[in-house]
Amino acid sequence: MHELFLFIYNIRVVLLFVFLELIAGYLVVKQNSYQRYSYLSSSNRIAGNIYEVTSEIVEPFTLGEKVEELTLANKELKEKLFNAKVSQKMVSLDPADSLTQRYKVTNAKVINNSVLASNNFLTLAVGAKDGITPGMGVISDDGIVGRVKSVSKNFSTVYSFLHSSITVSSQLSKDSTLCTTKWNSEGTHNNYSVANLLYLPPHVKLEIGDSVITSGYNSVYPEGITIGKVKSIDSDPSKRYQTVTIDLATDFSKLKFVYVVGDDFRKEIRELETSNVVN
Amino acid sequence: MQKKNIVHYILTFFLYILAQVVFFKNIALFDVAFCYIYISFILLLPTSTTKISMLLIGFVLGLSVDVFYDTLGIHAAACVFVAFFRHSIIKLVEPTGGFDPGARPDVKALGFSKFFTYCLIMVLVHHFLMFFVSSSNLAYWNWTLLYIFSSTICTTIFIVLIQQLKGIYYRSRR
Repeated sequence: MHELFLFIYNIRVVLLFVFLELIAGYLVVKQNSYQRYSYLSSSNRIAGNIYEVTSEIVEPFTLGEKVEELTLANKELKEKLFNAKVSQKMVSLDPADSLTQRYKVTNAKVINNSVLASNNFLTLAVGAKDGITPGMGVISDDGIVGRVKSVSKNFSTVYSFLHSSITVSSQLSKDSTLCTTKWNSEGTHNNYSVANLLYLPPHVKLEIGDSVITSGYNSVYPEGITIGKVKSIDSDPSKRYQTVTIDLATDFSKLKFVYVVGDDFRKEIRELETSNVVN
Repeated sequence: MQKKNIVHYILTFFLYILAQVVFFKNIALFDVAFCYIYISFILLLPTSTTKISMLLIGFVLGLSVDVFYDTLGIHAAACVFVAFFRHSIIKLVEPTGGFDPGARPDVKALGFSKFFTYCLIMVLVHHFLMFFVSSSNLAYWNWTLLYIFSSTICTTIFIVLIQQLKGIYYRSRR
Protein backbone atom coordinates (compact mmCIF):
# COMPACT_ATOMS: atom_id res chain seq x y z
CA MET A 1 0.00 0.00 0.00
CA HIS A 2 2.74 2.35 0.98
CA GLU A 3 4.54 1.62 -2.26
CA LEU A 4 1.41 2.34 -4.27
CA PHE A 5 1.11 5.78 -2.72
CA LEU A 6 4.80 6.35 -3.32
CA PHE A 7 4.34 5.37 -6.95
CA ILE A 8 1.39 7.74 -7.38
CA TYR A 9 3.41 10.48 -5.73
CA ASN A 10 6.26 9.84 -8.14
CA ILE A 11 4.13 10.16 -11.24
CA ARG A 12 2.09 13.09 -9.90
CA VAL A 13 3.31 15.43 -12.65
CA VAL A 14 2.22 13.08 -15.40
CA LEU A 15 -1.12 12.52 -13.67
CA LEU A 16 -1.76 16.27 -13.38
CA PHE A 17 -0.73 16.70 -17.02
CA VAL A 18 -3.17 14.04 -18.19
CA PHE A 19 -5.89 15.43 -15.93
CA LEU A 20 -5.54 19.01 -17.24
CA GLU A 21 -5.41 17.82 -20.85
CA LEU A 22 -8.57 15.82 -20.27
CA ILE A 23 -10.34 18.90 -18.88
CA ALA A 24 -9.20 20.95 -21.87
CA GLY A 25 -10.26 18.20 -24.26
CA TYR A 26 -13.66 17.96 -22.58
CA LEU A 27 -14.12 21.74 -22.96
CA VAL A 28 -13.18 21.56 -26.66
CA VAL A 29 -15.64 18.75 -27.36
CA LYS A 30 -18.46 20.22 -25.28
CA GLN A 31 -17.95 23.80 -26.49
CA ASN A 32 -21.35 24.35 -27.96
CA SER A 33 -23.23 23.23 -24.87
CA TYR A 34 -21.83 26.07 -22.77
CA GLN A 35 -24.08 28.64 -24.35
CA ARG A 36 -25.60 29.73 -21.08
CA TYR A 37 -22.31 30.29 -19.30
CA SER A 38 -21.43 33.66 -20.70
CA TYR A 39 -18.51 34.07 -18.28
CA LEU A 40 -16.65 31.43 -20.29
CA SER A 41 -16.93 33.43 -23.51
CA SER A 42 -16.00 36.85 -24.84
CA SER A 43 -19.28 38.30 -23.60
CA ASN A 44 -18.15 38.19 -19.98
CA ARG A 45 -17.71 41.48 -18.18
CA ILE A 46 -13.92 41.73 -18.33
CA ALA A 47 -13.49 40.64 -21.95
CA GLY A 48 -16.45 42.72 -23.07
CA ASN A 49 -15.15 45.87 -21.43
CA ILE A 50 -11.64 45.41 -22.83
CA TYR A 51 -13.00 44.91 -26.34
CA GLU A 52 -15.33 47.88 -25.96
CA VAL A 53 -12.50 50.21 -24.88
CA THR A 54 -10.30 48.99 -27.75
CA SER A 55 -13.02 49.51 -30.32
CA GLU A 56 -13.60 53.02 -28.98
CA ILE A 57 -9.91 53.83 -29.47
CA VAL A 58 -9.94 52.58 -33.07
CA GLU A 59 -13.35 54.07 -33.85
CA PRO A 60 -12.37 57.66 -34.80
CA PHE A 61 -10.12 56.38 -37.58
CA THR A 62 -12.92 54.47 -39.29
CA LEU A 63 -15.71 56.95 -38.68
CA GLY A 64 -15.83 58.43 -42.18
CA GLU A 65 -16.27 55.08 -43.84
CA LYS A 66 -18.96 54.17 -41.34
CA VAL A 67 -20.98 57.33 -41.95
CA GLU A 68 -20.92 56.59 -45.66
CA GLU A 69 -22.18 53.05 -45.08
CA LEU A 70 -24.95 54.26 -42.82
CA THR A 71 -26.11 56.92 -45.28
CA LEU A 72 -26.28 54.28 -47.96
CA ALA A 73 -28.27 51.95 -45.70
CA ASN A 74 -30.56 54.83 -44.78
CA LYS A 75 -31.15 55.58 -48.44
CA GLU A 76 -32.17 52.01 -49.13
CA LEU A 77 -34.50 51.95 -46.14
CA LYS A 78 -36.16 55.18 -47.27
CA GLU A 79 -36.71 53.71 -50.71
CA LYS A 80 -38.28 50.64 -49.16
CA LEU A 81 -40.48 52.76 -46.91
CA PHE A 82 -41.77 54.90 -49.78
CA ASN A 83 -42.46 51.86 -51.92
CA ALA A 84 -44.27 50.18 -49.05
CA LYS A 85 -46.51 53.21 -48.64
CA VAL A 86 -47.34 53.15 -52.32
CA SER A 87 -48.29 49.49 -52.29
CA GLN A 88 -50.37 49.97 -49.18
CA LYS A 89 -52.42 52.65 -50.88
CA MET A 90 -52.99 50.51 -53.95
CA VAL A 91 -53.99 47.34 -52.14
CA SER A 92 -55.69 48.06 -48.87
CA LEU A 93 -54.06 45.50 -46.63
CA ASP A 94 -55.72 43.95 -43.61
CA PRO A 95 -54.56 45.65 -40.43
CA ALA A 96 -52.47 42.62 -39.50
CA ASP A 97 -50.71 44.50 -36.74
CA SER A 98 -49.71 41.42 -34.82
CA LEU A 99 -47.83 40.20 -37.87
CA THR A 100 -45.94 43.44 -38.47
CA GLN A 101 -44.91 43.45 -34.83
CA ARG A 102 -43.53 39.94 -35.02
CA TYR A 103 -39.88 40.95 -35.22
CA LYS A 104 -38.09 43.26 -32.82
CA VAL A 105 -34.86 44.82 -34.04
CA THR A 106 -32.05 46.04 -31.78
CA ASN A 107 -29.10 47.91 -33.24
CA ALA A 108 -25.72 46.87 -31.89
CA LYS A 109 -22.07 47.81 -32.19
CA VAL A 110 -19.51 45.13 -33.04
CA ILE A 111 -16.64 45.35 -30.56
CA ASN A 112 -14.77 42.18 -31.51
CA ASN A 113 -14.77 40.19 -34.70
CA SER A 114 -12.72 37.47 -36.35
CA VAL A 115 -12.86 36.08 -39.89
CA LEU A 116 -9.69 34.02 -40.37
CA ALA A 117 -10.25 31.13 -37.97
CA SER A 118 -12.28 28.07 -38.92
CA ASN A 119 -14.77 28.94 -36.17
CA ASN A 120 -15.40 32.66 -35.91
CA PHE A 121 -17.23 34.72 -33.31
CA LEU A 122 -18.31 38.32 -32.81
CA THR A 123 -18.82 40.24 -29.60
CA LEU A 124 -21.57 42.88 -29.50
CA ALA A 125 -22.01 45.73 -27.05
CA VAL A 126 -25.60 44.79 -26.30
CA GLY A 127 -26.76 42.25 -23.75
CA ALA A 128 -29.56 40.91 -21.61
CA LYS A 129 -30.52 44.39 -20.48
CA ASP A 130 -31.34 45.27 -24.10
CA GLY A 131 -33.53 42.21 -24.41
CA ILE A 132 -31.05 39.98 -26.24
CA THR A 133 -31.43 36.22 -25.71
CA PRO A 134 -29.41 33.30 -27.11
CA GLY A 135 -30.67 32.05 -30.46
CA MET A 136 -31.61 35.44 -31.95
CA GLY A 137 -30.50 36.22 -35.47
CA VAL A 138 -27.96 38.92 -36.31
CA ILE A 139 -28.03 40.77 -39.65
CA SER A 140 -26.19 43.72 -41.15
CA ASP A 141 -27.31 46.22 -43.77
CA ASP A 142 -25.98 43.91 -46.48
CA GLY A 143 -27.11 40.49 -45.30
CA ILE A 144 -26.92 37.83 -42.64
CA VAL A 145 -24.22 37.86 -39.94
CA GLY A 146 -24.89 35.09 -37.43
CA ARG A 147 -26.75 33.84 -34.39
CA VAL A 148 -26.45 34.87 -30.73
CA LYS A 149 -24.54 32.29 -28.70
CA SER A 150 -24.46 33.60 -25.15
CA VAL A 151 -25.48 36.75 -23.37
CA SER A 152 -24.28 38.61 -20.30
CA LYS A 153 -25.79 41.77 -18.82
CA ASN A 154 -24.07 44.17 -21.22
CA PHE A 155 -22.48 42.04 -23.93
CA SER A 156 -23.26 39.13 -26.17
CA THR A 157 -21.18 36.58 -28.07
CA VAL A 158 -22.39 35.73 -31.56
CA TYR A 159 -21.63 32.72 -33.74
CA SER A 160 -20.53 34.28 -36.98
CA PHE A 161 -22.02 32.71 -40.11
CA LEU A 162 -18.35 31.80 -40.62
CA HIS A 163 -18.58 28.98 -38.08
CA SER A 164 -18.46 25.28 -38.87
CA SER A 165 -21.67 24.46 -37.01
CA ILE A 166 -23.89 27.17 -38.51
CA THR A 167 -26.30 26.35 -41.33
CA VAL A 168 -28.92 28.75 -42.63
CA SER A 169 -32.23 27.67 -44.09
CA SER A 170 -32.43 29.58 -47.36
CA GLN A 171 -34.25 29.83 -50.68
CA LEU A 172 -33.66 31.06 -54.21
CA SER A 173 -35.37 34.40 -54.52
CA LYS A 174 -36.60 33.73 -58.08
CA ASP A 175 -38.64 30.59 -57.42
CA SER A 176 -38.43 29.97 -53.64
CA THR A 177 -36.63 26.63 -53.99
CA LEU A 178 -35.49 25.65 -50.52
CA CYS A 179 -31.85 24.93 -49.82
CA THR A 180 -29.32 25.23 -47.02
CA THR A 181 -26.38 27.62 -46.93
CA LYS A 182 -23.22 26.72 -45.09
CA TRP A 183 -19.74 28.20 -44.92
CA ASN A 184 -17.18 25.69 -46.17
CA SER A 185 -14.13 26.68 -44.15
CA GLU A 186 -11.96 23.70 -45.09
CA GLY A 187 -12.73 23.55 -48.80
CA THR A 188 -12.09 27.25 -49.33
CA HIS A 189 -9.32 27.64 -46.75
CA ASN A 190 -11.18 30.08 -44.53
CA ASN A 191 -12.21 32.35 -47.39
CA TYR A 192 -14.73 34.64 -45.72
CA SER A 193 -16.43 35.86 -48.90
CA VAL A 194 -17.87 32.59 -50.25
CA ALA A 195 -20.23 29.86 -49.01
CA ASN A 196 -21.93 26.75 -50.39
CA LEU A 197 -25.54 25.85 -51.14
CA LEU A 198 -26.34 22.36 -49.95
CA TYR A 199 -29.07 19.90 -50.89
CA LEU A 200 -29.97 21.37 -54.28
CA PRO A 201 -31.06 18.46 -56.51
CA PRO A 202 -29.76 18.47 -60.12
CA HIS A 203 -33.15 19.25 -61.66
CA VAL A 204 -33.17 22.76 -60.16
CA LYS A 205 -32.02 25.14 -62.89
CA LEU A 206 -29.67 27.79 -61.59
CA GLU A 207 -27.94 30.70 -63.23
CA ILE A 208 -24.88 32.59 -62.14
CA GLY A 209 -26.00 35.76 -60.37
CA ASP A 210 -29.21 34.31 -58.92
CA SER A 211 -29.71 35.72 -55.46
CA VAL A 212 -30.15 33.60 -52.37
CA ILE A 213 -32.22 34.81 -49.42
CA THR A 214 -33.28 33.42 -46.06
CA SER A 215 -36.41 31.28 -45.96
CA GLY A 216 -37.50 32.22 -42.47
CA TYR A 217 -38.16 28.57 -41.65
CA ASN A 218 -35.72 28.13 -38.79
CA SER A 219 -37.10 31.23 -37.01
CA VAL A 220 -33.64 32.74 -36.56
CA TYR A 221 -33.85 35.23 -39.43
CA PRO A 222 -36.96 36.79 -40.91
CA GLU A 223 -37.80 35.76 -44.45
CA GLY A 224 -36.07 37.57 -47.30
CA ILE A 225 -32.75 38.65 -45.80
CA THR A 226 -30.04 38.61 -48.48
CA ILE A 227 -27.38 35.92 -48.17
CA GLY A 228 -25.54 36.23 -51.47
CA LYS A 229 -25.39 35.63 -55.20
CA VAL A 230 -24.58 32.41 -57.03
CA LYS A 231 -20.96 32.44 -58.14
CA SER A 232 -20.36 29.04 -59.71
CA ILE A 233 -22.37 25.90 -60.40
CA ASP A 234 -21.06 22.39 -60.83
CA SER A 235 -23.97 20.14 -61.74
CA ASP A 236 -22.64 16.64 -62.21
CA PRO A 237 -25.69 14.48 -63.09
CA SER A 238 -24.17 11.44 -61.40
CA LYS A 239 -24.22 13.18 -58.03
CA ARG A 240 -27.30 13.56 -55.89
CA TYR A 241 -26.83 17.26 -55.34
CA GLN A 242 -25.29 20.13 -57.24
CA THR A 243 -22.18 21.86 -55.92
CA VAL A 244 -23.04 25.54 -55.82
CA THR A 245 -20.79 28.31 -54.55
CA ILE A 246 -22.19 31.71 -53.65
CA ASP A 247 -20.61 35.09 -53.00
CA LEU A 248 -21.68 36.33 -49.57
CA ALA A 249 -23.37 39.72 -49.54
CA THR A 250 -21.96 40.65 -46.14
CA ASP A 251 -18.33 41.73 -45.94
CA PHE A 252 -17.50 40.06 -42.63
CA SER A 253 -14.13 41.76 -42.32
CA LYS A 254 -15.74 45.19 -42.15
CA LEU A 255 -18.65 44.69 -39.76
CA LYS A 256 -19.19 47.71 -37.51
CA PHE A 257 -22.91 48.03 -36.89
CA VAL A 258 -25.36 45.14 -36.94
CA TYR A 259 -28.98 44.47 -36.00
CA VAL A 260 -30.17 41.76 -33.65
CA VAL A 261 -33.55 40.41 -34.70
CA GLY A 262 -35.82 38.86 -32.09
CA ASP A 263 -38.77 36.74 -33.20
CA ASP A 264 -41.75 37.01 -30.86
CA PHE A 265 -43.24 33.83 -32.32
CA ARG A 266 -40.07 31.82 -31.90
CA LYS A 267 -41.02 30.31 -28.57
CA GLU A 268 -44.48 29.43 -29.74
CA ILE A 269 -43.18 27.83 -32.94
CA ARG A 270 -40.59 25.84 -31.01
CA GLU A 271 -43.18 24.60 -28.53
CA LEU A 272 -45.49 23.53 -31.31
CA GLU A 273 -42.69 21.73 -33.13
CA THR A 274 -41.51 19.86 -30.06
CA SER A 275 -45.07 18.87 -29.13
CA ASN A 276 -45.41 17.39 -32.62
CA VAL A 277 -42.29 15.35 -32.08
CA VAL A 278 -43.56 14.01 -28.75
CA ASN A 279 -46.94 12.94 -30.11
CA MET B 1 12.55 39.84 -2.83
CA GLN B 2 10.37 36.76 -3.32
CA LYS B 3 7.17 38.72 -2.82
CA LYS B 4 8.21 41.38 -5.29
CA ASN B 5 8.92 38.63 -7.80
CA ILE B 6 5.45 37.15 -7.49
CA VAL B 7 3.80 40.54 -7.99
CA HIS B 8 6.04 41.07 -11.02
CA TYR B 9 4.98 37.76 -12.55
CA ILE B 10 1.29 38.37 -11.92
CA LEU B 11 1.54 41.77 -13.60
CA THR B 12 3.42 40.29 -16.56
CA PHE B 13 0.75 37.60 -16.84
CA PHE B 14 -2.02 40.15 -17.28
CA LEU B 15 0.13 42.33 -19.52
CA TYR B 16 0.75 39.44 -21.92
CA ILE B 17 -2.94 38.51 -22.07
CA LEU B 18 -3.92 42.14 -22.63
CA ALA B 19 -1.30 42.60 -25.37
CA GLN B 20 -2.43 39.37 -27.00
CA VAL B 21 -6.16 40.08 -27.14
CA VAL B 22 -6.00 43.80 -27.81
CA PHE B 23 -3.11 44.01 -30.26
CA PHE B 24 -1.70 40.70 -31.47
CA LYS B 25 -5.14 39.15 -32.05
CA ASN B 26 -5.51 41.50 -35.01
CA ILE B 27 -2.23 40.50 -36.62
CA ALA B 28 -2.54 38.04 -39.49
CA LEU B 29 0.27 38.42 -42.01
CA PHE B 30 -0.83 37.32 -45.50
CA ASP B 31 -3.93 35.81 -43.81
CA VAL B 32 -1.91 32.74 -42.74
CA ALA B 33 0.65 33.86 -40.14
CA PHE B 34 -0.87 34.48 -36.72
CA CYS B 35 0.92 35.70 -33.65
CA TYR B 36 0.48 34.22 -30.17
CA ILE B 37 3.12 36.04 -28.12
CA TYR B 38 1.36 35.29 -24.83
CA ILE B 39 3.15 31.93 -24.59
CA SER B 40 6.42 33.75 -23.92
CA PHE B 41 5.12 33.94 -20.34
CA ILE B 42 5.57 30.17 -20.10
CA LEU B 43 8.88 30.35 -21.98
CA LEU B 44 10.36 32.84 -19.53
CA LEU B 45 9.32 31.40 -16.16
CA PRO B 46 12.35 30.74 -13.92
CA THR B 47 14.06 27.39 -14.40
CA SER B 48 13.45 26.63 -10.73
CA THR B 49 9.65 26.60 -11.20
CA THR B 50 8.25 23.24 -10.14
CA LYS B 51 6.61 21.11 -12.81
CA ILE B 52 3.29 21.10 -10.99
CA SER B 53 2.98 24.89 -10.82
CA MET B 54 4.22 25.05 -14.42
CA LEU B 55 1.27 22.93 -15.58
CA LEU B 56 -1.25 24.90 -13.51
CA ILE B 57 0.06 28.25 -14.76
CA GLY B 58 -0.07 26.96 -18.34
CA PHE B 59 -3.66 25.84 -17.89
CA VAL B 60 -4.82 29.14 -16.39
CA LEU B 61 -2.98 31.16 -19.05
CA GLY B 62 -4.43 29.11 -21.90
CA LEU B 63 -7.93 29.22 -20.50
CA SER B 64 -7.82 33.01 -20.06
CA VAL B 65 -6.82 33.45 -23.70
CA ASP B 66 -9.51 30.95 -24.72
CA VAL B 67 -12.18 33.10 -23.11
CA PHE B 68 -11.20 36.05 -25.29
CA TYR B 69 -10.86 33.98 -28.46
CA ASP B 70 -14.08 31.98 -27.79
CA THR B 71 -12.11 28.78 -28.37
CA LEU B 72 -12.77 27.06 -25.06
CA GLY B 73 -10.07 24.50 -24.27
CA ILE B 74 -7.88 24.77 -27.37
CA HIS B 75 -5.25 27.19 -26.04
CA ALA B 76 -5.45 25.56 -22.62
CA ALA B 77 -4.61 22.16 -24.08
CA ALA B 78 -1.70 23.56 -26.10
CA CYS B 79 -0.30 25.54 -23.16
CA VAL B 80 -0.42 22.59 -20.76
CA PHE B 81 1.35 20.56 -23.42
CA VAL B 82 4.23 23.04 -23.80
CA ALA B 83 4.42 23.52 -20.05
CA PHE B 84 4.82 19.76 -19.64
CA PHE B 85 7.61 19.45 -22.20
CA ARG B 86 9.41 22.69 -21.34
CA HIS B 87 11.77 20.93 -18.96
CA SER B 88 12.98 18.48 -21.60
CA ILE B 89 13.33 21.18 -24.26
CA ILE B 90 15.34 23.41 -21.93
CA LYS B 91 17.74 20.50 -21.44
CA LEU B 92 18.62 20.74 -25.15
CA VAL B 93 19.79 24.34 -24.95
CA GLU B 94 21.12 24.40 -21.37
CA PRO B 95 24.43 26.31 -21.13
CA THR B 96 27.44 24.23 -20.06
CA GLY B 97 27.50 24.08 -16.28
CA GLY B 98 23.74 24.57 -15.99
CA PHE B 99 21.68 27.61 -15.04
CA ASP B 100 22.34 29.84 -12.05
CA PRO B 101 19.78 29.10 -9.33
CA GLY B 102 16.59 31.05 -10.05
CA ALA B 103 17.73 32.18 -13.51
CA ARG B 104 15.25 32.62 -16.35
CA PRO B 105 15.87 30.96 -19.71
CA ASP B 106 16.15 34.33 -21.49
CA VAL B 107 18.56 35.90 -23.96
CA LYS B 108 20.97 36.89 -21.18
CA ALA B 109 21.29 33.34 -19.81
CA LEU B 110 21.24 31.43 -23.11
CA GLY B 111 22.73 33.77 -25.68
CA PHE B 112 20.88 34.84 -28.80
CA SER B 113 21.13 31.75 -31.00
CA LYS B 114 20.25 29.27 -28.26
CA PHE B 115 17.35 31.43 -27.10
CA PHE B 116 16.07 31.62 -30.66
CA THR B 117 16.24 27.82 -31.02
CA TYR B 118 14.51 27.37 -27.68
CA CYS B 119 11.69 29.74 -28.70
CA LEU B 120 11.33 28.11 -32.09
CA ILE B 121 10.95 24.60 -30.67
CA MET B 122 8.52 25.65 -27.93
CA VAL B 123 6.37 27.74 -30.27
CA LEU B 124 6.34 24.96 -32.86
CA VAL B 125 5.13 22.43 -30.28
CA HIS B 126 2.42 24.82 -29.09
CA HIS B 127 1.20 25.75 -32.57
CA PHE B 128 1.29 22.17 -33.78
CA LEU B 129 -1.14 21.07 -31.10
CA MET B 130 -3.26 24.21 -31.26
CA PHE B 131 -3.85 24.30 -35.01
CA PHE B 132 -4.50 20.58 -35.30
CA VAL B 133 -7.01 20.68 -32.45
CA SER B 134 -8.76 23.73 -33.88
CA SER B 135 -8.91 22.41 -37.45
CA SER B 136 -11.91 20.14 -37.38
CA ASN B 137 -10.99 18.23 -40.52
CA LEU B 138 -7.73 16.35 -41.06
CA ALA B 139 -8.30 16.16 -44.82
CA TYR B 140 -6.73 19.61 -45.24
CA TRP B 141 -3.63 18.86 -43.20
CA ASN B 142 -1.40 20.62 -45.73
CA TRP B 143 -3.15 23.93 -45.03
CA THR B 144 -2.95 23.34 -41.31
CA LEU B 145 0.79 22.75 -41.72
CA LEU B 146 1.10 26.02 -43.63
CA TYR B 147 -0.68 27.82 -40.77
CA ILE B 148 1.59 26.13 -38.25
CA PHE B 149 4.90 26.96 -39.91
CA SER B 150 4.06 30.51 -40.91
CA SER B 151 2.61 31.29 -37.48
CA THR B 152 5.60 29.70 -35.75
CA ILE B 153 7.96 31.99 -37.63
CA CYS B 154 5.77 35.02 -36.96
CA THR B 155 5.34 34.33 -33.24
CA THR B 156 9.03 33.48 -32.70
CA ILE B 157 10.18 36.66 -34.42
CA PHE B 158 7.85 38.77 -32.29
CA ILE B 159 8.88 37.06 -29.04
CA VAL B 160 12.60 37.44 -29.76
CA LEU B 161 12.08 41.02 -30.90
CA ILE B 162 10.28 41.93 -27.69
CA GLN B 163 13.04 40.33 -25.61
CA GLN B 164 15.70 42.26 -27.53
CA LEU B 165 13.81 45.55 -27.08
CA LYS B 166 13.46 44.82 -23.37
CA GLY B 167 17.21 44.17 -23.21
CA ILE B 168 17.99 47.47 -24.94
CA TYR B 169 15.61 49.30 -22.60
CA TYR B 170 17.18 47.88 -19.43
CA ARG B 171 20.72 48.50 -20.70
CA SER B 172 19.91 52.14 -21.48
CA ARG B 173 18.55 52.65 -17.97
CA ARG B 174 21.67 51.36 -16.31
